[in-house]
Amino acid sequence: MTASTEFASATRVAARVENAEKTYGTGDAAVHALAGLSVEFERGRFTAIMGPSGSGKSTLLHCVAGLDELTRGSVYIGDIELGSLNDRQLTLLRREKVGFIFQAFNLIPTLSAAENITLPLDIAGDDPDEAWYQQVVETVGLADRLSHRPTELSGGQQQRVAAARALVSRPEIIFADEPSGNLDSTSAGELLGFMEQAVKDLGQTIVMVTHDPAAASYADRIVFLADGKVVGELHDPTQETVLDKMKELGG
Amino acid sequence: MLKLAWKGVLAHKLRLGLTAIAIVLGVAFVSGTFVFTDTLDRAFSGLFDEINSSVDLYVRGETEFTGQVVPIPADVLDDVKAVPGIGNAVGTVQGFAQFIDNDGEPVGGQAPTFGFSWVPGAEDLTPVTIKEGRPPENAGEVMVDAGTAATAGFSIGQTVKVILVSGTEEFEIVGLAGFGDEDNILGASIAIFDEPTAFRVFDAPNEYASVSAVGDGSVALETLVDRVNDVLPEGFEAVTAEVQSEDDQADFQEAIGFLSTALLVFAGIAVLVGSFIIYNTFSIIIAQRMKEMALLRAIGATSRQVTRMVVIEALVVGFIASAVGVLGGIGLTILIRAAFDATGVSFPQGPLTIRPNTVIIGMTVGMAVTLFSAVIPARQASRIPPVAAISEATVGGPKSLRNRAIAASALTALGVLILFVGLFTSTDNPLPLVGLGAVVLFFGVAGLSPLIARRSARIIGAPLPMVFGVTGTLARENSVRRPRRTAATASALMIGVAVVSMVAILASSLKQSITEQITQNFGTVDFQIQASAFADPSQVGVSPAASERISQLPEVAVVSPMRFGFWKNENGSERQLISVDPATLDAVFVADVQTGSVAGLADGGVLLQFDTAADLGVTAGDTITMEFPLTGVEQVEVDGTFFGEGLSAFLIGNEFFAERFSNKLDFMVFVNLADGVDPDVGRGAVEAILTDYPNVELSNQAEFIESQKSQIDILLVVINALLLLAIIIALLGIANTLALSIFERKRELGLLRAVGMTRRQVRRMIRWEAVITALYGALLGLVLGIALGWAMVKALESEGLTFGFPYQLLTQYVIAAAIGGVVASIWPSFRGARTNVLEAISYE
Repeated sequence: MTASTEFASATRVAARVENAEKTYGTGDAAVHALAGLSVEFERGRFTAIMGPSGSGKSTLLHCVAGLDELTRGSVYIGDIELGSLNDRQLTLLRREKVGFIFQAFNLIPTLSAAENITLPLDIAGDDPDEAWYQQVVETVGLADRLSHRPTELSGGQQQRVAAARALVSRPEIIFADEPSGNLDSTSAGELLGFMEQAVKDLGQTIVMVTHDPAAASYADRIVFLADGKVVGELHDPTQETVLDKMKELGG
Repeated sequence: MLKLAWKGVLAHKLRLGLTAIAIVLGVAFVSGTFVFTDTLDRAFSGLFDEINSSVDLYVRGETEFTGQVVPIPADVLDDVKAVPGIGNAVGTVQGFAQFIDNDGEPVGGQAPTFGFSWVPGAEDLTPVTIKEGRPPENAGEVMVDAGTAATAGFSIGQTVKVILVSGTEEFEIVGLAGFGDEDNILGASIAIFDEPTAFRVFDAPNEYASVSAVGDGSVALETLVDRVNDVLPEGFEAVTAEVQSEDDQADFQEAIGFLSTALLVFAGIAVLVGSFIIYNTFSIIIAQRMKEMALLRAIGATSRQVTRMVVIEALVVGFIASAVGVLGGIGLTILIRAAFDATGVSFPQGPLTIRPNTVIIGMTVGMAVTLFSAVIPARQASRIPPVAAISEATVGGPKSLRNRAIAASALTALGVLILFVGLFTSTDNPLPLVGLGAVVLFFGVAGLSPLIARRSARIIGAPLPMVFGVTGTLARENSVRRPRRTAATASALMIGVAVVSMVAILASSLKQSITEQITQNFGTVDFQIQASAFADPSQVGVSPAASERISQLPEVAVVSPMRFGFWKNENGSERQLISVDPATLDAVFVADVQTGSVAGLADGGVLLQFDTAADLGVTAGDTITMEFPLTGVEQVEVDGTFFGEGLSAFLIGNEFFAERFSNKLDFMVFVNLADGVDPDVGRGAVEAILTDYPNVELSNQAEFIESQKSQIDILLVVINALLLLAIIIALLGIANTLALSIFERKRELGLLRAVGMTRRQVRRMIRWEAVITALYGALLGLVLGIALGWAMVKALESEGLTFGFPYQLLTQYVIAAAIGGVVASIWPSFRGARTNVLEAISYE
């Protein structure tokens, strides 16, 4: 589909998917959520995945992130092929190499914001890199809210805590599933701006699923899916080019 | 609504199923108790009828005393035989007899061991049948019951040693006896002698324990009974066999009534614990179904209908669980019977007796408890506003804690008040009040518990974050998330642990008091001899022949025998007394006489413990009214008062006792060695004699204290075994609550798994949450149990009880509770660890 696939090099690519198929059900009732899809996500870039409902974008995200298994095909995070890993290895991989920002229910209500941020490190029993932690917290702009419980934070603040949590363990790649889906436009802007900044200034790799053109326009590159396949791509998008591309694909 | 309720039950099968187990176990305990006692009752009723079936009438003493047989003089039999209309009459001599088996060990001991006489020509008047061989005809011959012969390996023609009142003697086995078709009655061992031998070996010259007769058919039975009554001396009466059967049955029911009451108390504790589990489960399920309830309200269900729906659900669950529980109770009875058979105490066989009442009571208890426990959750459900269907608003959140605190404090205070009234004001039977007070107190503390749950659980869980990092923090925080839920779950365990700890404290106090009493009051005793069987002290003991031989040993200076009996006061209630040897008591017991003297007992009269004398308002020289088995009501002079504890509040002399009681054995014999005799040498000499008497045990003071303590320990084990069910139900409650909470936190668990928590860490987190809950309940229970135990010991202080604190045992209980928490968490943690991450994080 795109020329870049053929020239992929392990060091340049944070994660890639090859000929991914994901089928739910069997026989006539079978639904092909992913139908032989290949894509790669370059290191240090902010990639958005767009597509209509049922296009397979969430399935793709779950499979790349090691939360779900492909029916056929392979997924690599760095050089590691996920299909060969057992549950424990997958868990450790998520803990060490992957960060998550979900649409909602991102935080553990019994832990403070600070504890939520360091949660993956604490689970692993690692000490956070203090300087990095400070930098993340400052970038996210939550320094004065750290001792608060999630219920005492606004929706935007909660999502930024989630973003900080995803960053603090310096994962290979961060997956975000509609991270701004529940936020008003100001909060959404703050969050997405922060994610953009994390890529530019801190060198993070982020893959974000969204259906919102405004959100997608923060990305460096947009991959469009339909019916479980990649149907288009856009680089350095603006809101207008996104809408144009969507029209083009939709028509 | 009925349909909805039914669907509600089906939809929550698993969760309600766990609740149902709590009901099933409690009801099984209750109905099992009834089935067990009814079955025993029926079996014995059959047995008594069978024993009495060949007889028309009996002659017996008019008054009844525990453990006493009123001997009937032999000439009474002649008088009865001479009554016109009597076809045949026989007198039976009865007394203590215990076989020694071929290895020199005593046969039986837990079941009765006795013997009686065989009279030729009276075969039709006895339930005994000859299974093999022939009945005893001469001195030196014995017939043994076929059951005992089989277990002890006796055969006809062999010589066997029998421990008797007259001493241990050898007999030749000439026959094996049965009872109807049975080889044995209740595992008792029975020795049958000819009459002259029986008179001699039971030390009952010309005395019958019972006289039975049949009519010749010429007159009606009532007339015959009247005629016999006319010839009987004062103090004796004739009754029909039917009346005798009924009286036997009544005695038996009284004995078994105690057992059934005790069992029902433990069943009640199990049910009480279960009620907390049911309450908690319904509360949680309703909280989880808030949206569903609100939707019902939104589409027009009244709040009453919602309440009714929950109540019907409770009734359905209660009904099914109670029915299963009743069946379980029947199964339990079969198991108990098998267990008793295995220990050798066999009950008469026969069908299980399941009375309608058993089913009715079992079902009623189960359903009532379920309903009662579901009422509060049902009312909470009715308060859910329709708007909750569409908003995330939480309902039934923290209501006024102040009201709760006031109500719960009041309840707690009321419980304490009832308890103290029961304990410290003198009532005849304080147990019902004490029990009620304890139950009210439990509810009060359970009500207060949510107020302190958060803080307490944080303190208990404080070390966790240090040890397990964030997994520990999460476990600790999860345990206090819903203080009410944690408190209700912990309350169930609290009750179990409170009772167990209270019992432990009572046992420990008892042990301490016994140790103190023995060292203080029996400090001068070298050895004591006592029956090793744990049975009625007026039925077993040391043959006087043995004491006699021991007293003749040159190594022995003092032999002081004691006997034990019940007398009746003016109200007809039985009280204990101990008879002592006035000449030697001072050598073995520190009576610490206040007025009068021990030696004075040789001339009759009674010595009273000083506080008993004060209670009765008598002093030396006054008389008290005492009724004795053989002599009836007498005015007995108070010889004096004493302080010494450890024997009885009433002491009389052995001669005085012998005239008034039918005991033939010494309950206890104290032995002091002569000056300068080496204890080991002296002991050897006494034990050489006791090889003929393996039914008794010789112990020095330290051994005696140990054996007393071990008897208490056995009791403690039995009580704990009975309380185990309540503890198991409480642990099931922890498992259930945890499983429900895990279900609620599915999303959170999914998130934790997504960000890298391993399954093992998830399990650890849930496990420690369970441990914190269990420890919280256990510690609350411990505090309550210690308080209850202390209060009871205080109340019994006048009986010589001193407070003993079994810190080691109590520590073990707390550790056991923590382990119980781990066990309870196995299934919920397994489920939690298997949370499907995708499902958990997907947005609806």
